[in-house]
Amino acid sequence: MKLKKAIACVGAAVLLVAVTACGDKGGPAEIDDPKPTSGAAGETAKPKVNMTIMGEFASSNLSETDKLLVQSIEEATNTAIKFDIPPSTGYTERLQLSLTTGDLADVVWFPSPDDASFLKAVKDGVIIPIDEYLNEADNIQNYSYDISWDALRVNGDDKVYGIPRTTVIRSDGYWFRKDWLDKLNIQIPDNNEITFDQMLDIMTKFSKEDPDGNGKHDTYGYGWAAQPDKSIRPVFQNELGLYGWQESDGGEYKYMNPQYDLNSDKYTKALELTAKLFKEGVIDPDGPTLDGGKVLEQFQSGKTGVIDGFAGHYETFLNAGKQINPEFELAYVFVKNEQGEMKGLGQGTGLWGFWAVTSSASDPQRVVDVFDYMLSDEGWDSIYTGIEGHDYKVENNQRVYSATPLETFVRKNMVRRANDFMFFINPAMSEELKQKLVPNIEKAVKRIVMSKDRNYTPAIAKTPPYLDFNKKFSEVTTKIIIGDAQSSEYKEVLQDWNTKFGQTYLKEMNDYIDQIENKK
Amino acid sequence: MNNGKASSVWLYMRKNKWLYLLLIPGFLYLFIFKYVPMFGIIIAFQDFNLIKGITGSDWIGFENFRYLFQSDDFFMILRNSLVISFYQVLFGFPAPILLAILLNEIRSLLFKKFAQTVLYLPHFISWVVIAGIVINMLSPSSGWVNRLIVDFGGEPIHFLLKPEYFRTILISAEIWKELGWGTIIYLAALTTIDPSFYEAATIDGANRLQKIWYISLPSIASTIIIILILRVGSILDIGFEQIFLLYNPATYKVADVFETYTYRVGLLEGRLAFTAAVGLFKSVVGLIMIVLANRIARLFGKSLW
Repeated sequence: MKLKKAIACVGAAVLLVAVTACGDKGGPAEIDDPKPTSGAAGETAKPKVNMTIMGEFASSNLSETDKLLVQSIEEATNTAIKFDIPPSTGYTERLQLSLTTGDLADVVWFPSPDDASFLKAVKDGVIIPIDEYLNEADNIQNYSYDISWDALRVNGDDKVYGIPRTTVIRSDGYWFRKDWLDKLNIQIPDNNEITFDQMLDIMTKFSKEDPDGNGKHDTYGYGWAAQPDKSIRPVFQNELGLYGWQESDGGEYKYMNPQYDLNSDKYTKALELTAKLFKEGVIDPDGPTLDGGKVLEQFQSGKTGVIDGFAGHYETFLNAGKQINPEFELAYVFVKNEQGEMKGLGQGTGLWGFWAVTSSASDPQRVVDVFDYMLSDEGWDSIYTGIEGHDYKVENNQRVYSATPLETFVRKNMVRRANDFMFFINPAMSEELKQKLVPNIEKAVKRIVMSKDRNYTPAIAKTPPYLDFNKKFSEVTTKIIIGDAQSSEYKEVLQDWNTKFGQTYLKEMNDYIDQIENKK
Repeated sequence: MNNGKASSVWLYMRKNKWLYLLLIPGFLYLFIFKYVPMFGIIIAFQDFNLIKGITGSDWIGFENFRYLFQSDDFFMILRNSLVISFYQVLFGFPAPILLAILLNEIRSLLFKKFAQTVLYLPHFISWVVIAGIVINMLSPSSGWVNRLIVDFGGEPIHFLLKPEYFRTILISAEIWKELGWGTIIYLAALTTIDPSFYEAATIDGANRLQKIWYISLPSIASTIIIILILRVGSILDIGFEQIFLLYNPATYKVADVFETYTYRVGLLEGRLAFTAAVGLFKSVVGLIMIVLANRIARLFGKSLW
């Protein structure tokens, strides 16, 4: 009997613990015991402020260099900073949960100003405008793109609702398998620029002429993937002159995006070309079911011969590729558009997401100050080069950088400076390699054409019927590319869109662009 | 009279107090995770505001439901949910029963245990991994299914981009994953059958199939009915992960179900109140279905309540 009682008690206790554990919330990654502050006199005069930063980073735990950086920021700004880093795969869900429950960090990261949950949070007052706090934030002002501020004025009240996490605006070129080019005796010009016809020719050879020499038809010219929402888009938009919202050649609207233009065939031609390449097996047939991460795997494992990508990733890509195949070599190539121009659409509005201050922030000014410090010369030096003693040592007045690869999850992903593309160059990199990479990055920055919409979302595009309708675009685009629909069906959906929403959408967008262009 | 009844109940509870103690965590679980959150249903009738919260948001009556029923997508999603659910019941429900009966007939205990272990394993593999296996297996460039087709002179098929294959792929993957696990409850029911029934049938000259048909199946019929009623109650609960991981815009028209729709609309578009309305609609349909299924089962004398 006693044994039964004991078993029942233990069983009940175990189940109770299990139930309690189910409800336990994963704790944020914290910086333990912030050390006493000894920062700048101006900052130490202010009382110490606690703040929590919620962001999406590659790891939920801070690395050693991350901890040291945060410690240096805390000392300089007299703050105690906690990080709340949900697993990146569930960040969106966790962010939604935080917004719904009101359990908010002082500042949270959003992926984009047109994110529906962000727009709702702004509308509901959960995210606060920060204009007044930016008055003294000279570094944030100086090192952000002007168009980033335009993109962050989302509420129609001309107020800014976020601190940019800037990225250098560029239009990247393509990584080619150089060993495949060599095998097929294809020469790339010294300036790394080829025409679009040459590009198509190379891709066809990569998919038809057995560049890996294994005697099998198992290679493809170009590696691509579905978008995060699983839709697929036409490839080579830069080369086909699709640069988003630009001044139109005439017609009802002053500004137009070929994607929404009933009178233009540019977008449908891009769809037709992608469909043709897909049918002929020139682009990876697995692309529509792959996510972005897999594209690199396919390239490195020798399935595809070309992918688009950032020139600064040379070392990482090369080393990973050589582990699979010692003959793996890389060439970085830019492709001119059909008119022979070196142009490419600048990605986004200089935002690689942004930091939004919430209504829960105990001292919004100090939150902004922390980000401003990170962009100051002192803060930026720590972010770029790390902390002395850990990331580098000073020998004979020269910095000697740690040779081991460092896990800079937070350190290199909190803020960036506009146009400072040297950020992407590892300070420990050899001069020879720098000379190889920097011209390519520079070219990617210089060739940009900006879309004039600045990621603005017209009010009608935030309405439920519009959001529901949007699915039709991704459906028809996918079907056309995989050969299950004619390109004319895109125009039918566009006509339907135009009747239901398009006129209001196009007018709102034109008014916005006009207003911004006239400000210049 | 009432006092006497109450005291007998009390005595019964005292006698079984350790069993009641074991019930507490289950009750707590249901109360905390199932009943308390039910309060949130009211946002389905609100223009939910993040700052004002559940208690302060403006009431909009049935506006979210009106939008749902008038939406172009509603009937497609309802149809997809019902069709996939029907296939799940048609093919997925009998499969573990058949397998349990087959396992029950195995005489070698060692082989039976080995087979059960192998069959249970897929249940513990996450959908992310299974979707990866399916995608690789059906890849038009490197999947073994397409290699086989090419070896026989055919052209590679983009299985995951073709609506006509989607349901078959989904249901097959689901059956493969849950088949073994689903047998547990039926195997447990089969072990309760008195062996003397089989002995008597053997003496009467019954063969294996006759014993299965006249003894095994009728003996576990109550279990089958209960599981079927519970399954019918969740007729609109298709499962999110497997569809989300395998579908794409090319297969939306056959694959988009309430779970994927609420994910896109609720989480990605931030329309939480509308999502709550969809959830409430699903629950009401589930309740109606479970009551109806029980009524039908009662006609055969096998009802749940």
